[in-house]
Amino acid sequence: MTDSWRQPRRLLLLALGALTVFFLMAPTLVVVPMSVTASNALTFPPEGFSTRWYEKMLTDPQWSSGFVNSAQVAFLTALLATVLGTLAALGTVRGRFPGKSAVNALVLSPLIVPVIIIAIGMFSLFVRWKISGSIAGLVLAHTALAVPFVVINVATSLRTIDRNLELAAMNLGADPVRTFRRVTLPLILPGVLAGGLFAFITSWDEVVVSIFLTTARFRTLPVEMWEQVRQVVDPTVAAVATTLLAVTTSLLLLVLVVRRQAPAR
Amino acid sequence: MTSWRRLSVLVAVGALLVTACGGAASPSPTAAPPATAAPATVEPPAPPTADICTNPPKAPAGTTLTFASYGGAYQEAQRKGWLEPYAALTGVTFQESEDSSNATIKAQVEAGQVTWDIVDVGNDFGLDANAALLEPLDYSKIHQDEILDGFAGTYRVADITYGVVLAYNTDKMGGQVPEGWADFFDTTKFPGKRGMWDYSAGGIFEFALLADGVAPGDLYPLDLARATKKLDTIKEDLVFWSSGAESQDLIGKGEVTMTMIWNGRGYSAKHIDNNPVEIQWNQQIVTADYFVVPKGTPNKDLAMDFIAWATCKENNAAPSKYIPYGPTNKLATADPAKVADLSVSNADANSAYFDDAWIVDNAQLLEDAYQEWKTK
Amino acid sequence: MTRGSGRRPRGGPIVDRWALLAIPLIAFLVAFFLVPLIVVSLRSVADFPKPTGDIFSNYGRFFASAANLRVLANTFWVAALSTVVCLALGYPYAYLMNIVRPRVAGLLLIAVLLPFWSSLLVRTYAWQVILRDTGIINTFLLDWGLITEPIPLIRTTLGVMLGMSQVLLPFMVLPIYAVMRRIDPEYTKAAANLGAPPFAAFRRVFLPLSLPGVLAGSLLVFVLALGFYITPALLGSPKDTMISQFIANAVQQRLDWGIGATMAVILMGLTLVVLFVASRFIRLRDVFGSLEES
Repeated sequence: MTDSWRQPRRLLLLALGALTVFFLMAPTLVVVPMSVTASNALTFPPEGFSTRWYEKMLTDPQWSSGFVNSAQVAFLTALLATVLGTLAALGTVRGRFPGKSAVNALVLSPLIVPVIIIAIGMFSLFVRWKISGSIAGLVLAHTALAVPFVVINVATSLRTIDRNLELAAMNLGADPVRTFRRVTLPLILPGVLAGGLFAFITSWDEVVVSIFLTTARFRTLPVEMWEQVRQVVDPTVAAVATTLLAVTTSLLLLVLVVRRQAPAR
Repeated sequence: MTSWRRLSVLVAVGALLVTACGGAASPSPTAAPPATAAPATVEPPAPPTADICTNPPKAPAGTTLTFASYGGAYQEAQRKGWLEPYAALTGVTFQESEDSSNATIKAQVEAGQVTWDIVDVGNDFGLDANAALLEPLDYSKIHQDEILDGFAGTYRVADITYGVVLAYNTDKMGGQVPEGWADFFDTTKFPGKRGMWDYSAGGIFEFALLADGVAPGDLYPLDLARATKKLDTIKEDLVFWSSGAESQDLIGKGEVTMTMIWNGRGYSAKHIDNNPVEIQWNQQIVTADYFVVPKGTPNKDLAMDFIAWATCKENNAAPSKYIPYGPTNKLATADPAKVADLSVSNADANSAYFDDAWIVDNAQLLEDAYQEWKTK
Repeated sequence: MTRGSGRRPRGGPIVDRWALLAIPLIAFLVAFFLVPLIVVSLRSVADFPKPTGDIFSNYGRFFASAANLRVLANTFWVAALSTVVCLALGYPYAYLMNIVRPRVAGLLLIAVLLPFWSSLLVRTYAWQVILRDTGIINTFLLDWGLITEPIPLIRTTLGVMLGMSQVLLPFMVLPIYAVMRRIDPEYTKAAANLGAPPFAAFRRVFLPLSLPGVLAGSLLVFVLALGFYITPALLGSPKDTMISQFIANAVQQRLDWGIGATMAVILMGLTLVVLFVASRFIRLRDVFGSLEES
């Protein structure tokens, strides 16, 4: 391949890539400067500089309770989804049973089924089971939505680790449980953690199902945003949005770091 | 029930004789809905226990009543005007919900899990069509005769009146003032986008008909074909909003030059956001929000006490101190600073009224026609 | 002794101990995911606004309304458009990821994943601020005298496309990238050595080899796009209404669970049809397996 064609084509590719990145990130980042405007209105470019919207967010009981609720639900979701998902990944990757493709389809279907349908279904049933509007109902709903990410991550890990290590352990006399605990688990830990982080992020940002399953007394941050935007349009919303974004970005970067530690084949 | 009815008729006649002499001298709202907006009940008013307005019964210790409304400045006004004073008088603790929704009432009642005691609902709910979901109101406590005609029904009583009006951004009018809905539909004289509430029963068809020359009294049954034909003339310029904040934002920023809006939001766009927004009261639709009690709530009697107290002439206008929405009690006095901004103060012969019964009975038809037109 | 299927090694159990580990999740999903979906489906033949003997009356009502059919058709149209847009942007992006250093590829990956995991409301509100008549783009163009009137960017199909593609792009990029990574560079080199000009080498060797990724990504984006609802509601015009909006409206505004459930069943059914037809051409394994690459 001669270099002469490479340069312009490569530049074009890079330009297109840069444009795409801009397209992906700019709209979301627009809220950041809007959150520090000194004026009362949500405008871009912002007028003046003020951190009072962050203060308002932290002192307003509705926002701070939304923050606490979101954190609680996301943490519990991550926990439950990680446990269920890791077990299931082990079962489907290592296990042998008929109908495996059906099980795989079931595990991944929360990603495919339109979220509004999931929302109305859960709302309808959870009200009857008296768990709508409670932290338990929300955690169960978010876990169902988040668990595919855990399974995907852990399954990938399982498929890429070196099975010889496990065989070696068993040859040296370790029983299956011990082998799992001391050899397999540490090896797949990055995948498990990554899955857990994705589950946390999924719950943290979830809005559609949450709208149906929360009440004024118990709300998560995204739902609070949704309600607030319908009531009053002031920059506090931008401050909340920026905070949500900051948390998600940090967690995604964390995932990247964790995955890099993964010993691959 | 029949003997109770007979007794109340007797007492009612007696009460009428007694109250015939006394008449309130305070300015009362002049709104008078047409005969088609008939109340669902013909029960003659029973005399309320005279004390409930000034001295409501104390609630048992630890009582909590859940009040559901629409949040924001609206609910804040209801809280300051009613909930807090009532709590102080009776010892009741109020739990509030800010997401009043008919769907939730339905879900709660159907699941047998009713947690809301008093719900503020829109004009499209609480009629006989919803009888299965609601408790009949206790008119032995509520002063039905003092409520504006047509705004008290078997299952609902109006608590607050407001107007659906035309608001315009003065910066974008080129020095002219729109006089009514005909001007709203005239994009030659007044170029720019128009805002409309994205809801089939919100008034969009009614305003189109008014613009087309239909008299307010002849609106119902709605001539949907005529209305959609009129709407088609400005369809490309329509912007649909689905929340109060959105409408306030759209007209305030000038994203639309005229919009259909709830008068409270128009007021806020001008006085709170300091945007160049004015309201045209001509051809407004005067409507109200209503109190209902979901069927099966454990605190039914206490809910009825509150509703009776809040609709008394002494108490009904209290929220008007905080928000330009008016009382539903004919004898109530609104806050003087807000009187000029109330829908009922600006009601005249050109004002229109929703025929709630027709709207509810034809909800499916309305919705289908609306979606059919909207997505064409 | 083996049994007829030959899928198991000799003497092995049908279901081994590892398989049992999957049971908790299966039970969980059946109870809290599958059962709600079944209940919704049942409501389409059990919930009626007025009592009727015809259990399919909701379906009759659905198909009798021209608006419903129009919106259903539009849903598929918008999904198809999104797929094309994502392909046009995603293929070069995946190719770029394939040829840069791993660290840069990682950052490109984050850039493409971030919108998916930033709050839906944040994204949509940001788009509104950018696209509306008094928004960033129009104000910029007006201030610089490039236009005299605001260009309609919001409440258009363009607006919906921008909003949806921003979120769906990772689902196109990841499958394509996963496949591209596996293409042995020796093949394109061999073609060049045999005298093929560079673009031809790409077109006739690399491109066909990347096709499974393209098909997998396109399928994934299409199916996901069918279910969108908040983005088209906030960024599109009434003509761009998608069926999920109707479902939400039916349940929340009209309290008509019957028709809402009916539309849900129809949407799910059509999605399954799409997946079934596609499975003739693509190994569905590839579609979902590629998500692991993230």
